[in-house]
Amino acid sequence: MLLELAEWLSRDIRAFNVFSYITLRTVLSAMTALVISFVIGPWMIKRLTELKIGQSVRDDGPQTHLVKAGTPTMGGALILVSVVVTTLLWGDLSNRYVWTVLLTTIGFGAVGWVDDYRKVVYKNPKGLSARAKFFWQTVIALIAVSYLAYQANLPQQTELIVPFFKTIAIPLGVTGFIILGFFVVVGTSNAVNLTDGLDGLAIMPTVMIASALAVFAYVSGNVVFAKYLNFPYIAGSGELCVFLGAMAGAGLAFLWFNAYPAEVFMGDVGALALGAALGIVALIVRQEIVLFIMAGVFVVETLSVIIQVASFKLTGKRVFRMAPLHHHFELKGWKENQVVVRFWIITMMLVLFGLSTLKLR
Amino acid sequence: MNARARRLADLGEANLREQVKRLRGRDQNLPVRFWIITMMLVLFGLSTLKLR
Repeated sequence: MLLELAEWLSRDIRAFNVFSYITLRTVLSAMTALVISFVIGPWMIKRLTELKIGQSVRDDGPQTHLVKAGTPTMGGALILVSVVVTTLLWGDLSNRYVWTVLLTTIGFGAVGWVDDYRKVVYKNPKGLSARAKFFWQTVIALIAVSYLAYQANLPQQTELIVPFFKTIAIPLGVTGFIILGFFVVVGTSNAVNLTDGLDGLAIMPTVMIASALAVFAYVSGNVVFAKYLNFPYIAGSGELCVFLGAMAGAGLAFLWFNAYPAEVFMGDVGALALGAALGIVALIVRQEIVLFIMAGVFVVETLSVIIQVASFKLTGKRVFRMAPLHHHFELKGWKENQVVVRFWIITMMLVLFGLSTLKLR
Repeated sequence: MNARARRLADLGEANLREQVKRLRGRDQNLPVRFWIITMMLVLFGLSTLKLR
């Protein structure tokens, strides 16, 4: 909206041309999302507390977590509102990728919302059944991914780019792209949800990965940089920086309230939406493998659950003291804060490694 | 505590974090919030790349 206004004003006052730059709008969108979240945040936490929308804590989890019972949840709605409003303000609303990402994020957020709402308002501990949740995730992901597959008019838009190798790009075709895209979007969404078990654990890696993906989106959407770094040029993908900037800004502001000891939890409404957003952006900028690297913490957390369940079903023995992995370390004696900050440090290293693929190829 | 002793005590806790801790009565999330403020300032600093 503001871009259109700036373009209109720039006819008379040339200074407004500055808003046509994606880089500036990305910084401004991050700041706007921060301010919106800081303004709405305290009010929303107060409302959630008044409505008694409090998190229930698993009674088989670490004993130290029992004090968290009753902390308001569904704070992810704060992130969603900030991201959507900010993207609508600073984004180019004629860009199809912006709408694809926004609608996918809102769709996954809606699934999470229904699940959270049933859990905390109707006091139904199961929330949305796992099958129903997966069904709706599948429907939304397939619609988004199919749209991307069918609107692709250049081969590089559906090729799997292999990092570190200049000449290797695997053509996936429409079907391959849809299958891969489905796993990336649904997988990332659920992986973030599984990781969201300690204060600030999921949000900071999400902010870091979103910031790194913004760099990839900028490079892919810029003819000069894409050619120079030997990246596939995807016209219009640069505009995703504005969305990712908003995500980083809203995420940082959320961390203000979610840092240990958390005043609010993001709930499924935030975790599912943010994960899906990372997945769909990585898919558009053709960086699924790099996302897999940068989101290593999310991947390992998910694998720990899979291994734990498989091992228990097959052998009757547990591999970890508790799954997901963060609980394992807590039971080993690490403090909650230590687990969180150490996982952040690992993500920082992985993000740097992912960013190195910009040049190392 | 007389005025001089209080002034000396205040000087001993002159760091902003000590002041905030004293005001809020807890400090567990103080480091993370200070990191967030730094990140915001870095973001603001980066905006000067273009805004000139």
